[in-house]
Amino acid sequence: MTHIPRNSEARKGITRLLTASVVVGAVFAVATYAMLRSPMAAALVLTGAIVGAAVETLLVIRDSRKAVARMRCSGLESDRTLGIGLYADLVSEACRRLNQYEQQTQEAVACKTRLEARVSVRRKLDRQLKAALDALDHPLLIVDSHGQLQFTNRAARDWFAAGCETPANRRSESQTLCAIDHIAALADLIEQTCARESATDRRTIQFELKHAAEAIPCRATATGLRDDDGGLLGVVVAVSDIRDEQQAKTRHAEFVSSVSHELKTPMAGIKAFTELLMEGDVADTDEQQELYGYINTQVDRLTRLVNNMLNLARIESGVMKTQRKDCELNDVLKRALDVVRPSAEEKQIHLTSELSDLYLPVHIDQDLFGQAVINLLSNAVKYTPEGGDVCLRSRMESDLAVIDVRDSGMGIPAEAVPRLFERFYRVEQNNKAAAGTGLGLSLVHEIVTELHNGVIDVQSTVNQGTCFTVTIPLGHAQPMRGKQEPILAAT
Amino acid sequence: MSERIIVCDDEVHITRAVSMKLKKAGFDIETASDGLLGWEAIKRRPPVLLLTDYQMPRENGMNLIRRVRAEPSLKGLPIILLTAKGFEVNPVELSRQWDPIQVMCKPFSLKEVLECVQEMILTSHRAQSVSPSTSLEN
Repeated sequence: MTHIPRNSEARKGITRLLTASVVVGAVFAVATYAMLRSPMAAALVLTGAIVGAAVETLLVIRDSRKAVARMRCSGLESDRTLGIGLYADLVSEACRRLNQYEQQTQEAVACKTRLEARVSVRRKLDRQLKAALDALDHPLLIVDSHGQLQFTNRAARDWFAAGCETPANRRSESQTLCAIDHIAALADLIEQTCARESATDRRTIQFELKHAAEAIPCRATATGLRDDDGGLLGVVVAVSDIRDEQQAKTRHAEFVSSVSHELKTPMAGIKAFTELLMEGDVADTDEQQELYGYINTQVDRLTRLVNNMLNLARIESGVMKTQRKDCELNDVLKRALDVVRPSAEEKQIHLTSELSDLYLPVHIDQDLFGQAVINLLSNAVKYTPEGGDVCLRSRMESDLAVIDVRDSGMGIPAEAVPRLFERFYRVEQNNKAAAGTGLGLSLVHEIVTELHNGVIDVQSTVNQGTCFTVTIPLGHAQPMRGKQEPILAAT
Repeated sequence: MSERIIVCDDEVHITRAVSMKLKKAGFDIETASDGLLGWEAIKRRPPVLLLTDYQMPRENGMNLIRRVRAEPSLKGLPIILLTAKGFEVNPVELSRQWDPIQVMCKPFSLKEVLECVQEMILTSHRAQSVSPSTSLEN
């Protein structure tokens, strides 16, 4: 049987030995928990340390007994001498062990410090990643390999709110998953991507999402996440709102259709008349001249159409090289009036102007802005019956230059006004009054709003007339030399 | 008496060019600038063939065709649809629904229009001449 030494010093030595072992064991247990997050593992470590310490203590005592037995065999007579020797050995051994454990404790503490630093860095990265994903406008979902929802970003919690009364920022993953389950296509997508073992890891579907009493067309892309061995870790699903995309496609299709029609129609006339003349179907020379005139008119129409389309395309793509210069607005307006005057006189329309007496300094591309004013005046003349009135007015309002083009023509129905600046849109009721490409007002809109930071407005009453109002910033880019602005007219 | 054809198109130069070609071939031509005027002309005196544009103000060509085919006496009226909407019009589907109908895309050859008009009228006459003998046999 093992004897535990009775003298107090030996007992203290063994107690210190056991205490040091427990402390070291505790440190290792904490470090293990920090790394593995497992209480069971930490408990095992602590238990192992205590058991190890106890075993060591017993071994020390056993070794000491053997030493005592050897000493007795060697003929030592004094029990006291033996006791002193045994004590000295024990203390010496205990001190050696304590030093060893102290060193191990220091190493454990250092290890714990390093682990804490790594955990801190990892937590910071996790927060950054979560913040980055929450900042996305697109909903993002992550499910594990069994289809269980693991993560949703803020956008996903906002979007998939059907039937969920909990505020989005407090909604749990299970509540979001409940909402997703209501969308059959999305649930199928997740299930099929999880079940997929090989081939394409990326699948895309389109579906409709009911959000705030609106059906939003959406696209969802599910991508399988795999580890280095190709095993499925989970699936990430990214959802996007494709309303703008669909609208753009529709507008593009409508634009192509309109362009096709507007190009083909004059081409049809040119071909038809050319064929008549070539086949000799027109004997009368006067009639032949008339047909040549038709062909010429249609070529001009095509030319205007192509030029307008090119200008619009250049403005929209940003490659239009505008040459904005400081100038006086009324000079540009007077030139526009001169261009339109002949056609107004043909229809006996009273073309008048009420230009401001003030000097109106502006910074504009004179050609483009002049073209915009000409388009507005031409439309006014075109859609005003014979003997009617067209008036061009300019004035200053605060730091803005305002231009009005008013006519006494057929007017525009209220339902047509919102579409007035759409490409190729022509008011159906006014179609017979005059020919046109349907691009003139689109070009005016682009020139005023995109190139000159202006605003264009329209007021109209059917059978009474229309007034287009263009407003642009007043002022030169460069301060003028030798001129005062504005100059008040003498009364 | 010349056979009557109605030409519907809001583009004056198209109606003029087609009219000139068909008149020279001996047809009596009445023009209309939209679907509503075209329908009034048809009701006034049914033609042997209708030649209509697709896109017109007030009433477009397709609506005019629907009106014509809804009228029992005009079910067999040959129709030629002139259109600048090339790929948006499916000739096979149109034929299945509104036969007898042919689609001609702008810009077109007047010579081909005339050939198509003559062929469709001939086919229509043949169909009408076959129908009385069939009813007699029954």
